[in-house]
Amino acid sequence: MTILAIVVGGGIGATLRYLLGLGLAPATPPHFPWVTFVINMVGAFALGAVMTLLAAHRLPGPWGKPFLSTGLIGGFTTWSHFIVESDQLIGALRSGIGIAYLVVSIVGGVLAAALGARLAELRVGHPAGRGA
Amino acid sequence: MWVGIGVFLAGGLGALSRAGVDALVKPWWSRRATGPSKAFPASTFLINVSGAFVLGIVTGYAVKNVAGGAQDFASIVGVGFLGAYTTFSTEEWHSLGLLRKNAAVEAFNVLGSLGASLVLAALGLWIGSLL
Repeated sequence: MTILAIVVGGGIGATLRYLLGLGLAPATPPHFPWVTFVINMVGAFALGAVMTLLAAHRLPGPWGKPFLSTGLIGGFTTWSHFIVESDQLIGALRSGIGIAYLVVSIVGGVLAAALGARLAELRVGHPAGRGA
Repeated sequence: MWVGIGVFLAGGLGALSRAGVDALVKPWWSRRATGPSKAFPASTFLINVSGAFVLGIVTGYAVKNVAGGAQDFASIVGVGFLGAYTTFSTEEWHSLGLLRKNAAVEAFNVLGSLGASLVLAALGLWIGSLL
């Protein structure tokens, strides 16, 4: 069941990301990769909330972690495209945009995760454990 | 449509592969690491750096070979498998936890992950362009 939850969650997450990429804009340099950026921010926010709710036992653990965290959100967000897009921007002599993309993604991702965790904490009424 | 189904299946496999590497590397690292390095998320680091390298190869190949087959391959293997295998959200979640517990390990984690991924993905882009 755990394996199935990871596979289905990861499949849905990757397909959503694929459809957003098809529908919105081609992620070709030299433009700022908005699609990947928004996907990663939304996912970091959602993971902060889900991990906090899981720690507080407000989500069903047996499928909550494999389906939502490892599968859906882990499969939706992507590190590899974030990195390759940054390399392509830098390689296309758009280093300014590339470096801005790196910094804004890393700082924004931590802030988004913190915001998701904080909102979930308010929802459950007490600070939850924060084991990574 | 068929590419979309391929992305779904490859994404499921990518997420499962990440869980598999986690299951192997996490216990190994907690046995081997000592002191502050125990807090370093070695498994996510390995997953993200290796995935960025292979996506570099796939992307370099797809940029050079604009035929439909190469683009479908890049969608299924790149967007599907490697996109789901690597994870941005977990990396940021580890960073948030480390910022509160051990800022030195977090500095190493974020700079090491970015540096190794950027260099290896650039190498991958070059290798892929030769294929």
